[in-house]
Amino acid sequence: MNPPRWSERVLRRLLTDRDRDTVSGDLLEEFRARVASPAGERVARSWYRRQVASVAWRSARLPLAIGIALGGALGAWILVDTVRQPLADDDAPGMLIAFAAIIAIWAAASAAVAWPTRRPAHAVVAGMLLGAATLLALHLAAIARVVMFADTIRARDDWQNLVLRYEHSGFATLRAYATYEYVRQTPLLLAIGAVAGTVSGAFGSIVVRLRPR
Amino acid sequence: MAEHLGAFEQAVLLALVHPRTELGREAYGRAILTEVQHRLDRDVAAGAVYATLDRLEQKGFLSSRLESGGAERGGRPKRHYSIEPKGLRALHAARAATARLWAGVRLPAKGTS
Repeated sequence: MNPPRWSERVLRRLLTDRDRDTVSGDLLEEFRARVASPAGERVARSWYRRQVASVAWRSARLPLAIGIALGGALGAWILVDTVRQPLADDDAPGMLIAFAAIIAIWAAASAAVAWPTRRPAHAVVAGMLLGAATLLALHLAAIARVVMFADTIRARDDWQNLVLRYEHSGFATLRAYATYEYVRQTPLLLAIGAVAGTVSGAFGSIVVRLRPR
Repeated sequence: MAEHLGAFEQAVLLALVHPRTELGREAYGRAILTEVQHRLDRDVAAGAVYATLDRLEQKGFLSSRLESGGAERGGRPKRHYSIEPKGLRALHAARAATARLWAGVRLPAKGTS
């Protein structure tokens, strides 16, 4: 009797070269002992999936934490900037520099996360998680900005299309409509973050590949 | 000064020093997982045990060696762990710290205020 095939594949992908056979062997042995116990196969399969999830969570939490910290810092900067100059237009060269810096940070962080495991694929996955977590935190800050400053920033040039859509929306307030639009965009932004992070992680994986064995 | 050990780290080291289950005496990953669960009297995630073993080994509290595995584990090798003198010193320090913390404390009986 073998554990769920996909779970075992995921487990082996997550583990380092050093631990791949020993840890998967331990879990296989415990899985078979549980199948043979009165609890039976269904409970054993569920136990095995939970163990894989625990290993996956431990691999994911560092890039997620870095991404949330980075996105939170950028979000805080946006909120402070809005207080300082609420009607200022976004500065295109400044945004381009910020975007390049974020990509570089994602690439460096994904390489650092994957460095101990020596696995380039880990850098790519870490980059994806970093990207999604950063944009999620940044987007939450953008939603907070809408809630806090909607009445002030409605006069911004880059808000005029949104204001027009609001006037035909039937929403009672601009704040409610803008919040609704921002929340609706969340899945798209997460996907954009994940894709951009994956590309950065691919750059990071080049560094991991260069690590001497 | 000895490094501070968390409760979970102490449970993992104690699983090696003083196993209470028959399987625990074998001191490889699955045996330690079973022993820690028995000692803490709750379900423990395997990921937490392996991460702790890695960390303790990096700190020099443990060492490990590979041995071949049987058919019950698909022929995959086992990693056996043993505690190092540094790990024993850290356990002694942890016990002394707990004893100091509780010295002279008399709690009211359970259920009374």
